[in-house]
Amino acid sequence: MTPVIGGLAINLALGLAFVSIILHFFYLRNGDGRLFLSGQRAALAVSLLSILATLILAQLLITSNFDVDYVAHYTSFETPFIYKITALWAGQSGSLLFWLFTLSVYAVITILQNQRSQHKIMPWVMIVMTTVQLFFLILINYVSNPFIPTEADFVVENGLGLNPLLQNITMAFHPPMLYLGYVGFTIPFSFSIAAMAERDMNALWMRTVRQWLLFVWLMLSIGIILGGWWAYQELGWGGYWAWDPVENASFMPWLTGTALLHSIIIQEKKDMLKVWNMALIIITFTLCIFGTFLTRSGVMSSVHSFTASSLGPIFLGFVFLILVVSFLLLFNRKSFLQSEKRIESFTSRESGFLFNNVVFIVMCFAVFWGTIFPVISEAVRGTKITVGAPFFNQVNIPIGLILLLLTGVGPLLVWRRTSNQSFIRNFTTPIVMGLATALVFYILNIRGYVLVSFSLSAFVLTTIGFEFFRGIRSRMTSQKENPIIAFWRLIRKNRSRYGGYIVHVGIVLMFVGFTGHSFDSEKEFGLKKGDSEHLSGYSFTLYNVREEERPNHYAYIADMIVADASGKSIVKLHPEKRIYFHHNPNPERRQPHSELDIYSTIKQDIYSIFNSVDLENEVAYLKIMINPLVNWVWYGGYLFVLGTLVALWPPKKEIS
Amino acid sequence: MISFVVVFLMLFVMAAFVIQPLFLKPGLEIKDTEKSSAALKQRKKILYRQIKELDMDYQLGNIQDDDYGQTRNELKKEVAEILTILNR
Repeated sequence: MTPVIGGLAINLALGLAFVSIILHFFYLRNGDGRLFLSGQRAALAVSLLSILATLILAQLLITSNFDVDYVAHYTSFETPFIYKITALWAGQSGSLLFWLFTLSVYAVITILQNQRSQHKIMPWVMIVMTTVQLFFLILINYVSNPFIPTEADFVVENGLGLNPLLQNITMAFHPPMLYLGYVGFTIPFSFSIAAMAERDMNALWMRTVRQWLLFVWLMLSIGIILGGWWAYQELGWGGYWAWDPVENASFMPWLTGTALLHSIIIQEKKDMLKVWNMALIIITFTLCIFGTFLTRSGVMSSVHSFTASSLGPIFLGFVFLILVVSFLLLFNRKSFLQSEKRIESFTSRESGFLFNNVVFIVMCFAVFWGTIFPVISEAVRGTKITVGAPFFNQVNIPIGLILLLLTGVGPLLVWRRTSNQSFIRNFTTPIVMGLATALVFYILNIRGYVLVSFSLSAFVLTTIGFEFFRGIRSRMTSQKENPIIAFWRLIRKNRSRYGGYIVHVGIVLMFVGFTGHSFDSEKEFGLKKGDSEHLSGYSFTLYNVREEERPNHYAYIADMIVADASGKSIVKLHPEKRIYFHHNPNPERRQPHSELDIYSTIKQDIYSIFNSVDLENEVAYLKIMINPLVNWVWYGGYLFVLGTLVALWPPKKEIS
Repeated sequence: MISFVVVFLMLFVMAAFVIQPLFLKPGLEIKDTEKSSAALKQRKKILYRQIKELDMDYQLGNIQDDDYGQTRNELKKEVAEILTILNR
């Protein structure tokens, strides 16, 4: 019964999406408000039906209704409750429905938010958003339907269960955050197409686009950071970023989105760069759809991607359509978007932002090229040539370091022109700090990118610290405030500016963490009970190997004592080797999985992996990695999120 | 039977919800109920914020006297134009 309603809901939503688009077009043609209201209600109905369908699928997953093929494929009775919910986005059709669900929630908010305003552009906004919904509804109805019944002439007693790699609590948050980011870019894109179509780009439009941009960018950023956290905690290779095609798919729109966040400030303040910003919005949204294509088409092999499917050409067609229509419109509206103002000086904040934009785009292109190169090489030469992490690191590390430098330089530049005196005054101390750091690391025999990265980090932190210091000092003098109150009010009264600085501090901490990767060390060994091994001044002693049967897996647990160079015990680690689906009579369906145990400190992580166990000879095979400064990446991530929230938080009282 | 009723109800409710506005008075005009000056007021807020930031940069010594005076005057001029329109 419920699967039927779910199927019907997406059928009906598909029909209503067509109706909504047609009604809006007719309204634009003859201006009869009844058509607008009816079209908007149809759009609302499309969203509500899509949300209903998603809730129905969630209910089917929770109640283990194995009559539905998707439920039987991605859950079992043993699957814990939380992972029955996360199974919603674990498979192809479910994840497409979840994409639609997210977009539908956004569409409802957009409609409700703009009931009393922006009526001139709203029909176009709804046409664009509903067209994107229509695309996903076509896929869900005709290509990958999550409500298809199980093809079996017998009662399915139990489902196959969820992939153990996805049975990690981060998976409850990482994909929804990514979706909120990816899908959310539809809103600024829709508003931009609408503004170009109607030649109406006023300050209200700017407010809407900027706020949405910042919000969806934050969601995408959190999604990417959580993805890195999940990879680090779950995949067992000791890293958080592997330049995997699907990781790159989320990173590319993040890069262009970050460029856009900077350049749109110039549009808001100076009424410049409108053509550039429109192009960036189009590219960012297209990259979001392209990323969805990469994950689902099967053209790339990745730990994150779904199995090969027929979705690829359809997605590529949609990407092509978006690019052609959007850029034709942009070309047609070029004269409306062009500004008479020009950048006045090379040493202005405008040129700093523009330069940062160029660097972001170069980096995005490098990632894009490396990502699609295997496909191009296969198409041209018939052999798939994969470019791995060495290529991406070689190209992106220098570009990343330039961006890090700009993170420090940008805030010290002022609008229009930076005076020579302020240039010298603002940059002297940070440059001295950067050089001093370089000297210290040089003496410590550290060279190359590591030295540059630490020196630039010191330079940027000093520039930001200097900015805070001067702001606080200014308030202390002019407002007679104590340093703590001055610090608090400085941020509260300039949220956008100082929120941005906090984000920049977060980025510096992340760079410190990335750089720590250069000092990683690792060792693989087999141990019998009571034996020890040594790595980087630590000893690892195996004192027990236990076995435990749990509801959805069977676990072998290695109990280890870690001691420092003086022999003092510092921690006990318990990495596990798990066998999922261990009750399955078919041994091929039983899935081994290594559950890590990590001892984290601010200085480094001790990362332990239980590779395998030889029960006959009582040997546990383990891998230990010492990963310096990893936690700085996560601390940077927290600050990054905090800073964006500060910038996003609306002021208590606005000037009226 | 139940599925038939549910399906019928869903179709009926959705159709009624979407079609209902078409039965309103013909030629209905859609206007922004939020004041038409909302965009100008928003622009004014942006300009005030820019003046505040400019003053802060000046206080911090990031900007020269002549640049500060010229930029501030330009911003004030735009604010004055908006205020004139809003007060009409």
